[in-house]
Amino acid sequence: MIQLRNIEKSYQQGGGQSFVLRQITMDIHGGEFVTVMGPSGAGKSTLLAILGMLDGAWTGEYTLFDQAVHKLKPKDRVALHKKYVGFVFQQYHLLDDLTVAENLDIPLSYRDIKKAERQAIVADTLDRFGMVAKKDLYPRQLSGGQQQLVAVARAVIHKPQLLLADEPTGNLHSEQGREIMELFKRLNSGGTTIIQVTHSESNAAYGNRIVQLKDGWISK
Amino acid sequence: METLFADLRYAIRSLRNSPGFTVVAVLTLGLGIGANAAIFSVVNGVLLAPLPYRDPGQLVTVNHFYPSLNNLRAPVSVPGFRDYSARTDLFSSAAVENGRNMNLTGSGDPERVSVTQVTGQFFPLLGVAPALGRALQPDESQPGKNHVAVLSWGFWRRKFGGDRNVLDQHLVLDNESYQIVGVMPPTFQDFFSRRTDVFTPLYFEPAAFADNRRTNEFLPFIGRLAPGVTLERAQSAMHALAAQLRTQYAAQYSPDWDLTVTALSDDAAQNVRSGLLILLGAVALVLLIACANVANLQLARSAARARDVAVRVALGASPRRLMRLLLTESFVLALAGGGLGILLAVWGVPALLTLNGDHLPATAHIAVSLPVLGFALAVSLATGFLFGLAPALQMARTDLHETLKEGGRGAVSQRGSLTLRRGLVVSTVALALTLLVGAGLLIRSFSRILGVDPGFRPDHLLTFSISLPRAKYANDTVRTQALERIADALAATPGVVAAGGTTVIPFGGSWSTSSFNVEGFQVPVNAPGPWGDVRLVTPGFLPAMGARLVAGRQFTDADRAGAAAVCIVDEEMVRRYWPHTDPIGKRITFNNLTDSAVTWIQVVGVVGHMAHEGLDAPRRVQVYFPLAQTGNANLVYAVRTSGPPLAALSAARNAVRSVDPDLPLAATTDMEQMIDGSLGARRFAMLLLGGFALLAMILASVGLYGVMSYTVTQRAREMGVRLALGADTGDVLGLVLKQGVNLTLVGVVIGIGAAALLTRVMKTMLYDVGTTDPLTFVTIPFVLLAVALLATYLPARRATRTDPIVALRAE
Repeated sequence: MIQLRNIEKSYQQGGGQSFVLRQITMDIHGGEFVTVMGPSGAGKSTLLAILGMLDGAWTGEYTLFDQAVHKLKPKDRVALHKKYVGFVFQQYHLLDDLTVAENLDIPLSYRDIKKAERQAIVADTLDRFGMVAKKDLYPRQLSGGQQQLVAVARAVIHKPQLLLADEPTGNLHSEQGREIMELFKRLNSGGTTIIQVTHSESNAAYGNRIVQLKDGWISK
Repeated sequence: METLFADLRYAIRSLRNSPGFTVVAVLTLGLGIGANAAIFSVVNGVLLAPLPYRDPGQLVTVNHFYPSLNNLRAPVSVPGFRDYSARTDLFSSAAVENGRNMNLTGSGDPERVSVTQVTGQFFPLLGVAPALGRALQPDESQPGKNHVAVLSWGFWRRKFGGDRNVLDQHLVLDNESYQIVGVMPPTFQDFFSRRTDVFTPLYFEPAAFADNRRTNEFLPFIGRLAPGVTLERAQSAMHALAAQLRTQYAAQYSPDWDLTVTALSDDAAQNVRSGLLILLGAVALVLLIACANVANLQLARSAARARDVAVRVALGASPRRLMRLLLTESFVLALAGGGLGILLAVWGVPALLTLNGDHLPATAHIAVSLPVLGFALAVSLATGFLFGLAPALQMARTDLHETLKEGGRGAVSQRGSLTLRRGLVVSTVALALTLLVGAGLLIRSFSRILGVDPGFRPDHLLTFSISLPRAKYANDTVRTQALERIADALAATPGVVAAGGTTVIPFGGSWSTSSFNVEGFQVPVNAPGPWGDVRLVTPGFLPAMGARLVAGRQFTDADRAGAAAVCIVDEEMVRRYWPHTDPIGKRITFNNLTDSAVTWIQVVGVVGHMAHEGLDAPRRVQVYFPLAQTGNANLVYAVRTSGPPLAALSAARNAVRSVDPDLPLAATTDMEQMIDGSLGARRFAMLLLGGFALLAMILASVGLYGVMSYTVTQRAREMGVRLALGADTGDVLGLVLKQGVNLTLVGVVIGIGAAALLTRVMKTMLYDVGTTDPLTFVTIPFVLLAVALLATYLPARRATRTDPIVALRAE
């Protein structure tokens, strides 16, 4: 499903180059639950951004669902992203001025889905995630765990085949974190490929493979 | 005081540290305050400052008034002057004047000078002492004593180089010698005549007091109210006098003829008052927009300074102290803007006068004077308070804990701040739209006027006036011969296609009207009789003007004294009095139909109506008579040329000199310039309101741009999230554009409502365009929307370039 070959990312710094990722080569198969770990500054989030096609400035070869991402124009990368990828952030990144239901609607609104259909999908998702009673609340009226639940629901509402999660439980206390990880486990069991970045060993235990990064290199 | 200085120091330092903000704010305020100061200079000079005469509040003017003739206010007649000035219970003194051009000879090239003849009480009544010598005395308005002259300051400087020994010298005016007895000071300005070179006594022949001259109205009247007499009482008494005179001289006065008494100060301003007040209102709106913009900038800046304020609060600053600090900064900005505004006004006022000086009252002294400086200071302080208050209140309300916690982003206050900023943008858009609609209506009116057919061909038409001195040309026969010889000489000049003369030329600034009777036309009860423009012309005048001959014939050399009295009328006359019959052969007379002997004048031709005072002026009936059947000493020549009109001036001058080398040409110009000049007041209002509206639109767009830029910066994280969730650049672009357009639309809707209400006051300034002209009300919002779209597009484009990684990481 995903093939990375010699992925490198660097910045110009002073007279030389500062590398964030070095010669990343790996394969991820459909249905895997991969955990990327490593110390701060190891390049975990950058790798996730490249996989999610939010970052286009890198070298190497990246193939996603048989599509050579490295050869695609930015517009086509956006289309590929729309089709396959969902994102969960550590800071939830819900939009403050939109209600829970409106936040869930955003990814659908960018995918040419008619309004009536979108409303049905949102209602179904609210029901599936147990948030029907909270659909008209604003993010600031929710707890951190509830906000992240909404963020996960938002990330999967368009049924992406690849879910990318960057420290999804980083801002949550342990009980809330556990609930989110259980949710990820269920999604993975349902066929969604998940790649998560985490510092937490216990969260990593939910996955079936761990990739260790150090100073931009895959160390294990 | 020490705190105030500390606040001042902080304010100046803080402004110096934000040069971009400071420059934009000071420029914005400078433009707003400058426009207000410039227009206020005019308002002050025209409407507020007292007239430059002794006790000006007691000075009034009396006019003949015709309600049914478009409320025509005419000067008084010689018998009228005698009757009104005899009312010493109302007027302690009274005077009339008569402006004319006379030929000055005997000192270099002959020259036409502007002479104002005044009756004896003129100078004592105004109470202005001469700078040199003496003023004219009351007993000098009689034959034998009336050959004395008082010079204006400008003429004395120009003609005599300011020579103080001028007093015993003589002027030769129209071949008669006048002894110079005085020079008026530079500040003296005649009320009715913009440019006077020489004042001489006005003497009336006994025949001028005849009752049949009662409506021969040509004398502007100035009176000083007697002690204890109010304007209302004088008006009431003159109204009663008019009723009495109407009864006593029923054959002379029309049934609705009346007398009005107007304070001289109001008379000066009445034609320009509403226009000036509208302009003052317009610049006040511009200033409001400027205030809203600076408030907007302040709010954006306060967001960045929230941490600074929070720290001050944490260190013990009271809200009041904080407000004072922030308001001090606003006042410093406002005063800097005020200073710039005054500089702009000093530069702008002469430019304003260049645009429209001739259409403002002659007595108005327009300059950036002390009252204007006071006004600018007051406006600056009020402005500082206005744009400083909201941001200061906003900042004083900043949530201390949240602000410090969030590293100075002032998260809690931002929402309120943004709402306020959007509100300010909506109001600036609404105000700008109101001004744009006003300007649009004026532009539409102007274009309608430009499309009006003047009734003649104004191109290639040179005009100038000739005045024959009565001392040299003693009677009508020799005058007519001379004037006709000049017309012939002009027509024979190479480069001249046709030439002719008239007593009153269209767009020449003067008019001559008369009542007359139309054979067979029964005047309805209590309605005015036939009345209109009367012109004496040479046979070549109408062809030279390019007037359209509709029926009958032109005048010929055979139409002269002794031959049958004839006239040519215009289509308006035919429409009113002979709508369904052939007008040729019909007759009119200046006699009363009850007179024992009536001199009938037969219509021999009909020409198209020619615009006279202006392309937009209401139509009056026009009747032309052959000069040779009446006679006159003054004529304005119309010379149609094959090349540029003014290029033929030298040849025309030679043609005149071939008849009389001592005759100067005056008021030389071409007809297109004259028509252009007649549009001056409208052009002035249009350009000014258009300029202010443009400024308002720019300021509103800058405000919108500022808010949208700020919003995009504020929403960078949101844009990052949206891009991460699948939004493409079109989605983000549309999101921001939609928000900008929505703000603009709200402003536009409010603005349309406001404009529909406010443009009503412009009714008198419009021509052939309604105050709710659909085209203007549809076009202007689209123009504004297009500009707003552009102002929003730039920040929107920036939003599309948001790097989601950077935006999300910044969190």
